[in-house]
Amino acid sequence: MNPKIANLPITILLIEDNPGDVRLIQEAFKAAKVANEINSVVNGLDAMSFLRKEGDFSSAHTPDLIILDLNLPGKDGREVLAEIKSDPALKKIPIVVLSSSSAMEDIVTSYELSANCYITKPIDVNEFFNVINKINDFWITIVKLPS
Amino acid sequence: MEQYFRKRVFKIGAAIIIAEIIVLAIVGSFYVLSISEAVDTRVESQVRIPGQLMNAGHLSYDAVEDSDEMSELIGENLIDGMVIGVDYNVYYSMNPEYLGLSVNEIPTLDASLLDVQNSGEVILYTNETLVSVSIIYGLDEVTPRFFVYVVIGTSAGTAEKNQAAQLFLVSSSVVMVLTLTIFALSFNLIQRLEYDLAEGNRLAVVVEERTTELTRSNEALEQFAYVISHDLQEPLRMIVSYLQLIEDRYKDKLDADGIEFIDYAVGGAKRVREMIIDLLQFSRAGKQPLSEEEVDCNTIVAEVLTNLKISIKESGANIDSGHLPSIMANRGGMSMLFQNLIANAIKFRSEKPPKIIIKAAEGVDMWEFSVADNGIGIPEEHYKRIFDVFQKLHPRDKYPGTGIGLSVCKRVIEGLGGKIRVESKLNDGSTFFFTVPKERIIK
Repeated sequence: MNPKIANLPITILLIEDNPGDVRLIQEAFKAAKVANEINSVVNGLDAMSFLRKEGDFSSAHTPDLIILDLNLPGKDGREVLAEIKSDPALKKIPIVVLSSSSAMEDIVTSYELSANCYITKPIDVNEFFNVINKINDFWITIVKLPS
Repeated sequence: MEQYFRKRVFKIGAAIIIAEIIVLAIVGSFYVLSISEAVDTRVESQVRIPGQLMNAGHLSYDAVEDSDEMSELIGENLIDGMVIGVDYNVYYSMNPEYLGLSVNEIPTLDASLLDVQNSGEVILYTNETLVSVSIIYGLDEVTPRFFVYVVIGTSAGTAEKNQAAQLFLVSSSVVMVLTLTIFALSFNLIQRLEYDLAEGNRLAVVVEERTTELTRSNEALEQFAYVISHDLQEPLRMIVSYLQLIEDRYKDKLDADGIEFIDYAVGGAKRVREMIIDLLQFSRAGKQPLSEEEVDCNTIVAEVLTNLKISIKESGANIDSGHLPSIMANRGGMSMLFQNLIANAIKFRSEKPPKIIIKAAEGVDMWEFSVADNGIGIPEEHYKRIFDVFQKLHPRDKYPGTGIGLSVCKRVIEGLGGKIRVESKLNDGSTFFFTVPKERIIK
């Protein structure tokens, strides 16, 4: 294990409007037993404020990983994705799109907007936990991220 | 436009009729005069159409009767007692005193008794004889139909003149009536054509409107299905996930019944989700043309067989695919079509290992593809039903699935302009046939 993780917890920004999913993702990360800090925002505007450390989020940390839901109220996930990926200061942050949709157009759109990966939320809770575990393994343990 | 056209035809018609009346009146009056010994030849040369009188023609009957001015006007224009009057709108009278006749003696026609919009009238006057031809014509707006009435009248004169006048009037009236009949027939024909044209245009507009409406409602429906499928998935996932979480976390607090109940709830919710996903697939299947390209059916079948590798291996299926043509179609749709048909052929197998034959044959204006199996078969009474959404012939536990596959196939094929059907014998296999129009076949 990378000792860095133990010392400096990985910060994840979860952009998800459904509290049920927020909780489920938190539970899954908890089950993965990795030291991490999950910040969650419920809409696109808050997400951008968080990332730019504006307003209420002036003391926010730039996350190491973003988990993004596509269907958000107001400014939706696609717009958030496009905005982050066109912002030189933010575009290096890997974005995992985690959506209920298995529609090909959503998948294609996400990759076109430079999402780092697209995952459909599994209905089975065990699979869901498994997916979060894999995200954790891959993006946090295996992948070298820009610091 | 239509109104304008009709008015124009009508005006031209009126002009023709009036011109004809004038010509006939002139010719007729010459004729009447020439056969009369009593008529001075000087009179003939002085016959003319009084312009002022024509202009004054719009005065009403009563106005003329009371108007000295009108009498003078008429008087000035009367040469040896002959007047040729042409009037568009109302029958007008002459100065009766000039002719030595009372108003009542002038053969007039009560135009108000007829539903007249326009009338042309000729009155021939000589010193002693008064004959009149009234032509009433008009347009019945309701039918719409052009109508013509010809009224002939003479008044006192010498017997010879009367006879001559009548002879002329009868013959000239016949000519006029014939001309007017031809005109009326042509007019009615034009009306008919115009109506047909307008009706044709109207129908074209209706068809276009309906098509637009249908396209819009189809789009709305597809959009609806898409939104429903998406938005319903999230709450369902919540139900399933949290029920499972309860089951996992509180296993020791739940008894066997509790766990069973949760399993039913989870199973139900999972099934609803499957149906939603299938419904989404179905709503997309008809969304032609997504993007059409040259699709090699051999490649599609090969890909499908790879996808179905596991079930082919498990069932020991033997699949024999003949050479299939390439067609212009949406790739995803063709893939779904073959995948559903082949997967069904494997799924609904009998005791024997599945034997599946895929073929295509050229027909008159279609190519016919077929996917034949040696499975359990379908009773004839269900040939149609199996293509409906969520229709299943077997219990879920025996043959899992929502029952959407064949309805997706049907939608894909109909989107290409073809048809799908089945021929089957219970316990002796089924063959699914589908056609693709030749214009879509590439080679």
